[in-house]
Amino acid sequence: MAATPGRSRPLCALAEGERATVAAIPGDDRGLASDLASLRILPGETIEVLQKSSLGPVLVRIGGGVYAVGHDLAERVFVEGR
Amino acid sequence: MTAASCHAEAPRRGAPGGVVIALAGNPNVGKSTIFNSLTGLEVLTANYPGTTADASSGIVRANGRAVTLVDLPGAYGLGGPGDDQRAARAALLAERPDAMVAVVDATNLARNLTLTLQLLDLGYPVVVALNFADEAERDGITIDAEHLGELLGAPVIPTVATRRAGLDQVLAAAVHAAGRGSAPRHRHGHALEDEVARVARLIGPGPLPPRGAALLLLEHGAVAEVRGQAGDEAMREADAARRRLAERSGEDAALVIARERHAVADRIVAKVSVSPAELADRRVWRFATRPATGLPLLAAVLGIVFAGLFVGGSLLSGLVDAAWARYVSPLVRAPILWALGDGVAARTILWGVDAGLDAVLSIGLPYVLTFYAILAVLEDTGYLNAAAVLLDRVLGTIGLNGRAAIPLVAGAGCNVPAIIGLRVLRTERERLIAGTLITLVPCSARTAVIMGAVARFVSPQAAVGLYALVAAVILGAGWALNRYIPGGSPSLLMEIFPFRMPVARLVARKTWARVREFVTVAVPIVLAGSVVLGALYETGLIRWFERPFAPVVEGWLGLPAVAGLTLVFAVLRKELALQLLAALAIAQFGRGAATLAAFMSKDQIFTYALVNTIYVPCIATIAMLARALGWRRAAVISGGTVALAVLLGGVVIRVLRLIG
Repeated sequence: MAATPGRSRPLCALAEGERATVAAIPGDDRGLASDLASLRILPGETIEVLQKSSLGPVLVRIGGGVYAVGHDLAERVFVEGR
Repeated sequence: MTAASCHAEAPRRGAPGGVVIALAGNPNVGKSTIFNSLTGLEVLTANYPGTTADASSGIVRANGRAVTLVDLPGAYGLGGPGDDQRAARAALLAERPDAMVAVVDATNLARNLTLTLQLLDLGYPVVVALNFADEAERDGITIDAEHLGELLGAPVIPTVATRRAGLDQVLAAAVHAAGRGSAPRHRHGHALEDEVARVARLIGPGPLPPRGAALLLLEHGAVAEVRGQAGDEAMREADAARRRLAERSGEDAALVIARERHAVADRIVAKVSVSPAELADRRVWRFATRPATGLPLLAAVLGIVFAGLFVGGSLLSGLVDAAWARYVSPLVRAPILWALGDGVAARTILWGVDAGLDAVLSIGLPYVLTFYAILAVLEDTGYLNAAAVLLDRVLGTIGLNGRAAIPLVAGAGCNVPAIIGLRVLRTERERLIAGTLITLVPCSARTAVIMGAVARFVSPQAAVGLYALVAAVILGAGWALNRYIPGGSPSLLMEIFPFRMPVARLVARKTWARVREFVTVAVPIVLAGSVVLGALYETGLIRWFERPFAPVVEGWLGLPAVAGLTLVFAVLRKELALQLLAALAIAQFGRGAATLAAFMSKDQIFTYALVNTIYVPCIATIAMLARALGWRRAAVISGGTVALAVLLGGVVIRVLRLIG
């Protein structure tokens, strides 16, 4: 379940317009995990970064919805591939 | 019962023999717009999530039956531990509806359907309102509603809530479906369904069908609302099943179930819908949320709001005041003076029905009306959603995140609903910080005082300066709270909605609803307050009441003692302060000279408005704070703001005098 450190990187490392597959979401907060899951931000889903700025939230598209993900959360969601 | 009420814990609603139908859906899919259209009530709506924090209800007639319609708070699911999901679940189990209307956003069908699937899993007869059907069509999305209905086992009706299209059909279908029971047609994967069946066998009859109750238990463990129905054995089995699911898949059972639901929704959507790869144009969003362009845009929006308030509000205010003095006042004064003579009694009554009512209509109403009209446009465009993203970083420095921008801005309308809206925040710490800061946000009543006194009698620039000072106080207080309350700022996780063109009819309705509430609540309080102050003034007793405040009001704040008394009265309603002051001016200098400038210097007017803005909000806000955060915290916040207002007021008037 944990991300394989070699290949995965945090969501905030993706460039604008880049797509990747979610590898891991934070597991230490069940409320947060459940909220992420109900928005479909789940391992295995394809995520696309629509917009980002240096410290502001990252805007992502996943499963047909668009969400703002705070910068520190974007550091704890890991993605891999592509 | 015709008025909307807000008691999620209340016993089941509805007339005997009537039907209860609940509206459920993700945030910002148009539930409240549908509710308002069908019931003719006014639950406030906006183009951002979390406007409906409590379940509201209203009665309508359909198919010859009395139907109690319940508007549930928006949520992405019903099984999670978060406050929004818990609120929706609790309301659902308390209302025990006979049928559900699942409102879904046709432009994001798959994610919206997961909640519909949960409602079907819980055994409710469901009618799906496929809302934003027009936007979906414009975006090139086609949905086969009939086929979707067959796959779900529930009627699907395309709707455009803002134009009322399809709503009557939805209501009729829901009444038809009420009480018929339903068996969901979709199935999850074998591993999950086997575990569900194992737990469901142990669950007896109750408010939920055993399969629905079992799914809730598997998703969230010991859900308080289901414990009674399930019993100990089923709870133990559910825990064991959660562990088995977690071992098998390597992730928490809640995630397994969420994944299954998304997969089911995907399979269904793939069969009924065709959509182009790329949808809305995101250039506008980019412009509004990038600091380089977003911050100037925010400044421009604030500037327009201020100019609109100043121009629109002062214009209305002047018109109303002139009309009152010329036409209404003589009509009101003559019969009272004729009946009672020009004595203490007559003059006291005139304080209320002449000066008091004039003040409500010419000071309170114009600015409040203008502000709410502007706010309604701003809300319905969805701009606040973009502001939340833009301000995420700034709010991070005061222990909040972008999500808090929405209740904080709502506070500029009225603090009371803003404090109810604190529920959209995830942690207690955020609610405490944001709750404290909301009380410092100048609500429309305090804006009426700032605009009606400072902008009018000092200068518009001084009013801007006062707002800037208050903003600095809010940031400073937030910084201090963030520093001294243990914990950190939680991350932002918020859905982004496209900008939408406001519909004039809905903006007008919403503004009218808020203004009507303002007038009905404000008029009796202002009448009573004016009469009491008038009696004190006319009998000369006012000297006795001024005296205890004199050292602080005259000595430290440098204001006339009687002005201090109006500030005390203003705890009833903040705009009362200026209205009473205007009434005092009329009593002392006569009509026509009804100008504050005869009464106080510019420095005094500025300080007066500042103290009124910062010190403890009105009693309604204190009561709501106590409900949201507890009495002790409400008392600390109230006392703290009084101390802050007095301290700051004394410093400011000295600085103003110094710089002349």
